[in-house]
Amino acid sequence: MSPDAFRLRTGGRIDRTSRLAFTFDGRRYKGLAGDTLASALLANGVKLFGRSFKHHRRRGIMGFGVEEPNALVTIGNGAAAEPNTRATMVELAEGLEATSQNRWPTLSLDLQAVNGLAGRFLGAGFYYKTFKWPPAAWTGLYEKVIRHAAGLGRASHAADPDRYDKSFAFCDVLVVGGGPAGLMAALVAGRAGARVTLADEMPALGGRLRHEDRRIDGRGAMLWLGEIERELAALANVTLLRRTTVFGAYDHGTFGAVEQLASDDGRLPRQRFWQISAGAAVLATGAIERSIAFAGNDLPGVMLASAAQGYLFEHAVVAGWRPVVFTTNSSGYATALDLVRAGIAVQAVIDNGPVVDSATARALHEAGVPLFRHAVVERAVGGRAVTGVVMRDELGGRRELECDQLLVSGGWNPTLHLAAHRGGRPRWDDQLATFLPPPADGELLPVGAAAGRFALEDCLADGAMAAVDLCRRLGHAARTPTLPGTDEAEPYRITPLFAVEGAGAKAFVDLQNDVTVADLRQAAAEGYRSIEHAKRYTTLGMATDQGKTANVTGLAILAEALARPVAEVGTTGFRPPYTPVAIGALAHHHRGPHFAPVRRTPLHAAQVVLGAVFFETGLWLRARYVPRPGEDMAAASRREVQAVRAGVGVVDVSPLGKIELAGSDARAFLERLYCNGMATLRPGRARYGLMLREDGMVLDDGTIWCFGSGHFMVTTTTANAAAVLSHMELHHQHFWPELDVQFASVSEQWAGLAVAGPRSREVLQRVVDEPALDDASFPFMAVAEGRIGGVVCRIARISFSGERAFEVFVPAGHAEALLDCLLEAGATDGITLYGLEAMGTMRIEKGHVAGAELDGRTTPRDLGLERMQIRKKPHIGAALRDRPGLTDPARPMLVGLVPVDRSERLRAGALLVPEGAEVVQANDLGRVTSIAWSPGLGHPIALGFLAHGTERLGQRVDAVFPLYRERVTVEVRQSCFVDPEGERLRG
Amino acid sequence: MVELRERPVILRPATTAEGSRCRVAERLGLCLTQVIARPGQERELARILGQKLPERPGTAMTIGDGTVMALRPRDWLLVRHDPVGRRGGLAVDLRRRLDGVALVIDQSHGRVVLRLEGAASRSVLQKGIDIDLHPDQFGPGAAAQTGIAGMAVLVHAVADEAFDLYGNRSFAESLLDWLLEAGREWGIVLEASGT
Repeated sequence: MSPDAFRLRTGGRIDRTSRLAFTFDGRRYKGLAGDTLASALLANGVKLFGRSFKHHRRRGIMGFGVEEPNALVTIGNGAAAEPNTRATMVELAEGLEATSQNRWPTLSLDLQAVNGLAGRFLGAGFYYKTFKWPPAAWTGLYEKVIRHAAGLGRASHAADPDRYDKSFAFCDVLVVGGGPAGLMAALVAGRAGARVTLADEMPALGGRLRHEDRRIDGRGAMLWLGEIERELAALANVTLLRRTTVFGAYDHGTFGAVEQLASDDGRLPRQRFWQISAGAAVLATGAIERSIAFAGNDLPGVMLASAAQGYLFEHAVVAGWRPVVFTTNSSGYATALDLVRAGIAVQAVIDNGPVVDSATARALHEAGVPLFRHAVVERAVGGRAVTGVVMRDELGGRRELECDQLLVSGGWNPTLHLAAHRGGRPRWDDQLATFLPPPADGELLPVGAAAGRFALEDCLADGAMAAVDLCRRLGHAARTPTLPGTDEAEPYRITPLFAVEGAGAKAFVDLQNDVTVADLRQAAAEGYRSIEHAKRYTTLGMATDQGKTANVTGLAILAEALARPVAEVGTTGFRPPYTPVAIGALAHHHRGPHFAPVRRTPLHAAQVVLGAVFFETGLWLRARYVPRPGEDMAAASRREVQAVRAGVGVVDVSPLGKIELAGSDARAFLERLYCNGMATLRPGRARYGLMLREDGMVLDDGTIWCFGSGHFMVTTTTANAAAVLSHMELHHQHFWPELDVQFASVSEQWAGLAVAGPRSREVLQRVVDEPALDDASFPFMAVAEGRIGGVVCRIARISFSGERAFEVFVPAGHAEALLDCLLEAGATDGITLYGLEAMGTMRIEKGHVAGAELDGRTTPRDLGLERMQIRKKPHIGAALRDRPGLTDPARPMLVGLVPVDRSERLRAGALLVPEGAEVVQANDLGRVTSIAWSPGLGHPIALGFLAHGTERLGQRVDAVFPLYRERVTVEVRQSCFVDPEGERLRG
Repeated sequence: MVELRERPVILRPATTAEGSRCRVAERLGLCLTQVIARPGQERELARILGQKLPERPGTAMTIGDGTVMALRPRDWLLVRHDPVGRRGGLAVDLRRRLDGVALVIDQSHGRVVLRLEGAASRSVLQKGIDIDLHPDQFGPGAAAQTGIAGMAVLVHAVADEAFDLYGNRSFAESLLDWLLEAGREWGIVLEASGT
C-alpha cells in the first residue's frame, strides 16, 4: 500500500518534502517529518497495532495522545529497547524501529487469540480464583500459562544505555498544559512579571486548538497561537517546557515532571526528571474523550472522534474514507463536520439524544449526511477491522450501515488527575455526566476543560482569570487582559450513555486490561460494592494507561449494576504518575558507580599506587590489604599482622570521626556525654571514652584528646561520625543551650595514620620535629600538638593493635607526603603498610570491640566495660541503664571463642547453643560477632556474646550457622587473646 | 628534618570541549578558618579580627581579597588566599589571639573548593541543589549550606555566573564527577587548578 494511501493531498502540519523511513514489526514503511508513529502507520493503511492483554483480540488505534490504550509498542531493540510505548506519543524519526507486543508468534497470526474463545472462563477475578484450587496448580500450571499469555512488553534485562537527568526548578506559577487556557494563564502571569513555567506533554503548544477549526480574534486559531508562543518565548521570566509531562502533584507546591529530549544530540540526556517547586499551579490539562461500551467496540477501525480530528488537522491523515460517527454529545457533530469539510464521505451521525437544532446539525444535513437521533450502535461488525455497524433506533428497529471506520464520542472527561493526587475527591456532575476536579485548594487551580468548562471562550477566560488571581496573591500586579474573541460554537450538550443496552462480554470498557461490561456486572453480582474493591477485582483502570478512557465509563456501569448513583459510588484514588515514568528518569544518574557518592581518604591515591586492594565500608573506599605479588588476602593480611607485631606498620585511619571542642563548659559537656569520667583528664593526655544512648545502650566509643583545660578533640568510630556529631548538636542546642561549649567536625581536615609496632617510636621520631616521643615525656595515652616538616600535626600514643603505637594526624593535603616520609624513614625497619583486614585481626586478638559489637543492642556490661561507668555521675544513659533487662545476669556478654578443632572455620553471625543442642529459641545462648585467623596463635579466633559468659570460661558450646548447616564446637576464652596484661602496649 | 609537600585534591588532566558554556576548576592556596564565637563574644571577635562579620546565616561578605561567610549563629568561615597559612600556622596564631573568645578551627584541608563559572553554571547547579538559585533569590554574595546528590556542599555565589562550591574533601571526586555529568549538555570543561 502507498505510504500516503490514507493521507489527504493538502493540509496537516507535516513536512511533505521530508520522507522518513521506519519499520514496524520488521516491515519497512515511510512517513513524513511531523508524523507520529501512529499517524505514519495509519497513513500507510495499517489498522492492526497490537493484541489485547487477556483475550489477544486485534486492536487498532483508539486515541491520539497519552490516552491511547491499544497501540503499545516497543521502540528500538536490544539494550535500548523501550517497551510499552504509546505509538501516538512517538515522534517519527528516520530509522525508527518499532515492534508490536503481546502476540505470539506474529501480530496477524496470534495463536493465543484462542483465549478469545475461552473468554467466558477469563472473566473478572479469574486470576484470583486460580489461587483457590488446587494449590499445586498455581506454581506448576496457572502461573506459567498466565504469565506467558498475559502481559505487556518485556524489559530487555540489559543495562539501559540511555542517560537520564534531574533538575530542580522553581517558579511562582506552574502552568500544566499548553492549550488555550494554559496559554492565557502563562501569558497573563508572564506579562505581570511572575516566574512562570509552562509544561505541555506534546511537542507543540496549542492543545485542542490544534485539532479544531476555530477562529480567535477573527483569524485562524493557529495564527493566534503562533503570536502567543512568540510572546511567551520572548519573556525572560517564562520557561516553556515542551514534551514535558507533569506526572504528579505533591505537598507544598511540589510537582514531578518528565521531559523528553532530542535523541540525536549526544550531549543531551534522553529524559529529564524535573522536581518543580511552584508558588501555585494552574491546571490547564484539558479533557479526554471517552468511548461507549457496545459489542465490538474494540475492533480495529473504532476510534475516538476527537482522535480523528487530531490526525486530520495535525497530519492530514484519515483512518477511513467512509466513517460513521456515533455520539452522545455535541462534539461528535463538530468532528463529523470537520471530516465532511475535508472531503470525507461521512456515512451517518448516530446520536442517542433527541433532535436538537444546531448550526452543525444543519450543516451536516445540508451536506447530505444522514442524521439518526434516538439511535445507538448496537454492535460494530467486521473481522480484521470494522466493515459496518448495526444501528438500533428507539423503537428497537435494527439496520446495518456499511463503513470503514467508526468514530465514537461518549463525552468528555476533565483531566483532573493532578488535582486529585493529594487526596481530594472528584465531584460528579450530572449535567456534564462526568467527574469534576475537587474544589481548588489555593495551590492548584483547575481551569477550562480540566474544570469541565469546555467552551473555548471559557478556557481563555478561565486561564486569564486564574493567572490574575494567583499573581495578585503572589504580589505581582496583574491586569485583567482584554480576552480574545472567539467564533460561535455550539454549547456542549450530552445525553449520557455509557453502555448500550444489551452490551456484555464483547463490549469493552478498559481496552488495555480487557475489562468488559460483563466483567463489571459480574463483580457487582459477586458482592463487590466498593469501587476500590471492584477496581482491583476486575483490574479496571489498572493498566499502564490507568484507565484514561475507561474509568468514568466503568464507574457509571458499576453504579448502574449496583443501583446506586454514580456520585455515591465515587472514583478510585488518583495516584502519580499520570503517565508511566521510566525508572531510569527517577534514578537519573544515580546508577552504576554513581549510585551513591564515594568517600575517598586523602591517602587513597597513594595507596592505589602502593597496590592496596580496596573495599567499601559505608560510603568509604578503604584499603583492605596491600598484597605483594602472588599473595591473596589471607596471606597478605597475615604478613601485615606479623610485621606490626614484630616491627612496625602503618595504616590509614583518616576516616575516624573527629570533633573539636572548646569553651569553659567543654569538659562538663563531655562528662555528660560519656559514661566514664573526664574530670581528671589533664592537658596533654588522652582517654578512652564510651558514649551511651538515652536507653543505656552503647552509642559509640573513641578517644578524648585534651589539649588545654577547655580545648579537646574527640574521635568517633568511622561509622558513627555523623551520628555522634548530631547527638552532640541535639544535646547542646536543645537540652543544654546554657553550656558554654563550641564544637565542629574536623574529620575532613585531619588525615590520620596509625604507626604501630615495637619499632614505631623510633621510626616516627625520625619524621616528627616535635614533640619528643620517648617514654618519659610521651608515655602511653599522651597527646600533643606538634610539627612535622613545619606543618602542624596532632599526635597521640594510643593503640588499637595492642602494640606500642601512635596516631598521627596532619592536614589532609600533607598526608601523602607524611606517608612517603614514614615509608622511607622506616624502610630499614621493614615498615609495612597494612589494611583494614590486618587492623581488624589485631583488634580481635586484643578483644577490642568495634562496629560488630557496638551494634546498638549492647550495654557496657555486655562488653565487659561496666567498671568504666561512673555510677554517681549524671550522664546520658544513666537513668535507664539499670533496667532489669539490662542487668539480667543471663544477658550474653563478651567472650573469646576458639574452635576445639583448630582447623575448623568460624563464621560471624553464628548462633551459640549448648554443645550438641538443637537450634531452637530455648537453647539460644548468644552469637558470634567477629572472627579472624590469628597469625600469632596460628588458629581461628572469634569474639561473641554468650549468656553467663564468665561462668563458662573453659567450657564448650556450639557455634551453629543453620543457613549453611554448619556446627562448630568452640571453647570459651577471655576476650583478649594477646598480651592481656598490656605490657607490649606500654613498653 | 623532613619536608611535607602538599598536593591538590583534584589530580585530573584538564579537558576541552567545543562551545563550552561552563567550566570548573579547583581553587588552590586558600586558607579556610572556621571561627565559632562564645556566647556574647561576637563583638569582641569582630574587634580582634578587625573586620565586620555578616550576621545572617546564608550571607557572605567580601573583605579585601578574602570572604567571610556566616554558617550558623556565631559561626563563620573565613576564606583567604594564604598558601603558607594552610600549613596550620594561621589557625594556631588565630587561636592564640582569640583565646577565650572563640573556637578557631583550621578547615583548609577539609574542603575542596571548586569554582564553577560560565553562562550555564547556574543551570548546572540547579540540577543538584534544592534551593532556588534564581539571581533574584541567590545573587552574588549569597551563600548556603546545602547538598548535591547526597553530598554536603556550601555554595557561594561569587558573581552573576560564578559560584564557589565548598565540598568535603573525601567527596571531592564524586562531587566533580557529578558536576561533569550535570554539565555535559553545556560542554562543561575541567580546567587546571588555580588560585
